[in-house]
Amino acid sequence: MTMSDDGPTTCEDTTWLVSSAQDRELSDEEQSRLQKHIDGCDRCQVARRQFETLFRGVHAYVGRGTKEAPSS
Amino acid sequence: MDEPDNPTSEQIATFRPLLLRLAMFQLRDAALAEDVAQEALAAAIEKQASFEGRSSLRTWVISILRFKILDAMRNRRRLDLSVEPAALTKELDDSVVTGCFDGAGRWKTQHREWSDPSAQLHQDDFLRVLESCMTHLPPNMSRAFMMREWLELTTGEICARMDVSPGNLRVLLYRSRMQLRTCVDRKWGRD
Repeated sequence: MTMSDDGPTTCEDTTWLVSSAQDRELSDEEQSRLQKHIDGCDRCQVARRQFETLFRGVHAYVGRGTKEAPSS
Repeated sequence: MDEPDNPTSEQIATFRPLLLRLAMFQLRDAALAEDVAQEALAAAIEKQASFEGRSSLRTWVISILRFKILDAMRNRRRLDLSVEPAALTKELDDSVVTGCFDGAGRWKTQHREWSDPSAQLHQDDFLRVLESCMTHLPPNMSRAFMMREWLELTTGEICARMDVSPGNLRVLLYRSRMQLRTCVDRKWGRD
């Protein structure tokens, strides 16, 4: 299953966009769809914060960020 | 600023378990991971005088491993990361992700906020949870995810290294992120 091309943007669609944004710049249209859905969706607001925390954690773990990490 | 003290060989060697885990997440081959982690440790010990303290010792040692793996990947005789079609098909199975959404593509449950891991006290714990979740990623997902997030290869480069289509790579990266979120959500404390 991938992102639906038509119809209203779903929560699942937003997860595809959040993932894609890690790999490429979203188009203005994609950015707008993402923001519009998230603005009106409590579940996606929390999920996006979780993804942001997850991505920051991954970058810290592999030494991409500047934050310290466990040393063992 | 004072010059940092050069790290000792013993200090560098304490990172061996971490380097092995990172190499395993990337390569998913114990013998190869052992070899490349050992090479990275030897190189770090040999170059210990060049550690300038601009990053943490941990970050410096990891960066040496990263370059060793990139070097090995450029030499395909040493390191072949192309996928096995049967394994890829299995990993592209939808079940983990579709379980999150109802038929209308809506999250089935209202998520709870995660505790903020930004405080140093909590960050180490968070990264241990994350690391534990990464061990559960299937091999091709793990390789793709690490090539993107750690080695910072472009998606085009990863497709070439793994011999997968852009569409399949997109699914592998998506599933890996979804699976990690779900796993961390189960294991990490909430506010």
